Amino acid sequence: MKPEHRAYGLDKVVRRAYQEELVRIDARKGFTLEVLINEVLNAEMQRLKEYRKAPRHHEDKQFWAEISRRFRRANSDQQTEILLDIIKRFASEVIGNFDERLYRVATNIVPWAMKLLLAKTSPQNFLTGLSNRFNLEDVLSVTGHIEEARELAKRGTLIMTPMHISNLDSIAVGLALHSSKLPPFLYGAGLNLFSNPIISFFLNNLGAYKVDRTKTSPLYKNVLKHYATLSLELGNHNLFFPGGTRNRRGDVEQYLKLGLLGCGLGAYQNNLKSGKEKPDIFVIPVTISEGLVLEASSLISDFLKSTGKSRYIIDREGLGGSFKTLRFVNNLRTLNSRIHIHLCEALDLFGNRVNSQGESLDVQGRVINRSRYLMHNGTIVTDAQRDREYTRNLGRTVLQYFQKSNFPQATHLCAFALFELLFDSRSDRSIDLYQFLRSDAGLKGMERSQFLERISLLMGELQKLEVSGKICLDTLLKNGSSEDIYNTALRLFTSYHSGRTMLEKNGRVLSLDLRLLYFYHNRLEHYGLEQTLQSDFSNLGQGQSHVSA
Amino acid sequence: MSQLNACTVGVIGGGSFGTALANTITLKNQDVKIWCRKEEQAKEINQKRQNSKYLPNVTLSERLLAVSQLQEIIESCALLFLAIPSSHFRTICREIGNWTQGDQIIISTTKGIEAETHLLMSQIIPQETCCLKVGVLSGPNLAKELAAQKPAGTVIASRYQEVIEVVQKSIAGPSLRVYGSSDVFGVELGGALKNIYAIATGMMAALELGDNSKGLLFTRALAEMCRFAAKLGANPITFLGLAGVGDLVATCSSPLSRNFRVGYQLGKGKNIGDAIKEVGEVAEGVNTLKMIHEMSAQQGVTLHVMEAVYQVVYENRNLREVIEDLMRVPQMADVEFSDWTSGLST
Repeated sequence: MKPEHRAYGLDKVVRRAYQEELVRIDARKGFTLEVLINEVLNAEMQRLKEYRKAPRHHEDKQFWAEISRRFRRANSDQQTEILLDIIKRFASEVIGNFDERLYRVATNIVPWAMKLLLAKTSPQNFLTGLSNRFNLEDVLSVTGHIEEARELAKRGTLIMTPMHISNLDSIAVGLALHSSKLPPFLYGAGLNLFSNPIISFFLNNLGAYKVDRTKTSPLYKNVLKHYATLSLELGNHNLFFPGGTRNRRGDVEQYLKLGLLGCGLGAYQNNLKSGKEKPDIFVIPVTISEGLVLEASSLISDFLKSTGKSRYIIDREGLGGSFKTLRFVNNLRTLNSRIHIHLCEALDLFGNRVNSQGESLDVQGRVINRSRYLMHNGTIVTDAQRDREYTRNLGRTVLQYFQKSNFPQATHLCAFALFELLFDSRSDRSIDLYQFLRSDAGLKGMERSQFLERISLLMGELQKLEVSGKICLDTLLKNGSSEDIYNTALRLFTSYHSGRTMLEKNGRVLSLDLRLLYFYHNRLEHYGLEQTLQSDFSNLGQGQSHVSA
Repeated sequence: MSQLNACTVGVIGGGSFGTALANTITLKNQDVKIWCRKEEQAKEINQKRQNSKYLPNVTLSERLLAVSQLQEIIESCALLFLAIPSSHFRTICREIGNWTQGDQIIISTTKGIEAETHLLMSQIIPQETCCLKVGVLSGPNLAKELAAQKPAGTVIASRYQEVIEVVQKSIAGPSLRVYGSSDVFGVELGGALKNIYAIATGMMAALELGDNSKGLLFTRALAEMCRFAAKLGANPITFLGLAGVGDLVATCSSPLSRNFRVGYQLGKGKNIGDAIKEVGEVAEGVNTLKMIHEMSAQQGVTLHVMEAVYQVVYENRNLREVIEDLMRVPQMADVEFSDWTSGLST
């Protein structure tokens, strides 16, 4: 939040969150102010026990001990004061401090800082790195409705909703938006990231607000939502990862968390009611495609162990400037593998397309008056149940855009072909996916020529899907030969994950890590491509079922 | 567009159900507009208070105003009921979409599935109009009984609480009870599927196979409906309500049902073309049958009764032979979605 809005914002968030808690108390039988405070107190005490090394643990412990002491003897007026103090505590913690001047300085520094860091990771780069200008385009390509996004940013407030697979996503999207000459965006960042004073300084001033995913009480979540809503009302463009956490499965996201996305509708209604000059809020889905994923191994392990719990936004892993991250980014650069970021068409908060003039269009392309969705007898009416349904509708549309604006890469296509074929040719048909992943079935592999045929077959299907608007293809997948695609995938897979995902030996294509192969394979799920391979495989007298987990 | 009057209700479609529904709503001292494709039909309703082709011998309310211009009715009604055949549903929705606004509520009363897309009618509405507040009205609502104000019940299903409340308030009355549901897909699918089984009951009635076989057919029909709907994501419990059992019982046992009447003619040995001609009105079950035959094959769901009706209607198979085959299919659990072996001693 900009410094001039901070005090106003804090006051407003506290008042709104307090009002909402009163409504919650009214709505539930037996749910009193006392029960509410107890609920928060218990959640916080539990958290302090569980996360002893959490940032600000000591200060938090003191605060809650004091609250607990006051609460024991509090009458109803004093309970109200306690609730307000708790809300103020949460709100002050969440609110960031966005400074536009510092933002400009920092965003200019980041590419240079990356250049220096990259130079340090390779002797060759160390010699040449300082003299060669670091080009963002080396590792990042941005496509899609960029001009339209710029135009809409002038007409209203934007919410970017990117896919989320890697911790690099936040850096990549941030740089992509900056290089596309889009205005600054506010975003949520994990509280733990603020423990480093230098990172904290940048995050604070780059528009990040603090999200503590260890805090589970509904009151804390209300404060977060009110903060996001208010920041949108104040015209701050926001970036939410609507999946809530990195997608551990590696496929195109199939479910979204709608809490933060719903803030847009609240802000829009408040803007309309207050007669704001530019009340409109637009949502832009963003797809991210990475040929290699930094944390692929831990992500798929998390998924397979079913331990990947939903989390809020950015995690610490991979963001500490570790050698691994730098090596990974450098690999991307030297291997000519790019992170592809695509800005989809803009949507309104009801899931309708929006043109560059900011007009909402129905499916048939007719201009519609979007404010009418919120009206009853000509006036704007708040209806929480209706609005949740509108947001669900928006969420469904965002997912459709993720699916049809997915740019698969050579690694995804080759992993898909190899994994499906290996799984289908398993000798014992009763072996399930999990048993299969633990097996050494990848050693069997398949002949190179046969594998290339399958790549050609899949390319044909992908091209048909692209023509019908169901997927997007880059130049390599659209015009390259199966040989080009295979060689690209092999080069990338050889460079990372210890070269175990896919390799070639004695004219056969193998995998020494089926879990990773499965992870990259998943990016092409949900397009019915399994059937293509199935029918081809059946013609050879094998194959019955495809993979699901 | 002028500001909507919250009290104006519109019915699109001057067929038997549309006319009966519109007339029922007027019983609540509510002005209702009804759109008829033909101007003569609109004139007859306005001047003679009659819809002689589709709902003969019923005197229509003075509060009912028939129009033949879609724009007029769309721009003046906050709540719209669509009562048009499934074959014209998309075309009319697209036209309606020229004038609809986001605060309008649209309710589909058409029980069918679109041939090319296999979509239900309520799924077509947001594709062709800007309206999101959509609902489905379904249940045992035979038009002639509704018009005669005989006691009946229906279900309004929507994801929007507001839609359920507005519809209940607008149409519930002394002769019509209106229940709510959030399972839009289940309620709509129930309404479409039962038409197939009404054809089957009509065939059995023609062959005079008795009440035991009627009981057998009803319960197996219900089992098939639940099995198919659950496979597509609906809640099978929905089929215990008015849009499932309720509609099945009414449609399958009433000689007033168009689908029953088509089945009856087939049972008497007529082919499908002649049977439809004899009935003289659109029987949605005949089209739905074809869709469900395709969809069940795609989904890998076995529906023996549906398949038997399909063979008679579309493959011209002998009805008695088909029934013999049906009686030989493997016998599984009586009630699905429960472990039928759990009560057995071990």
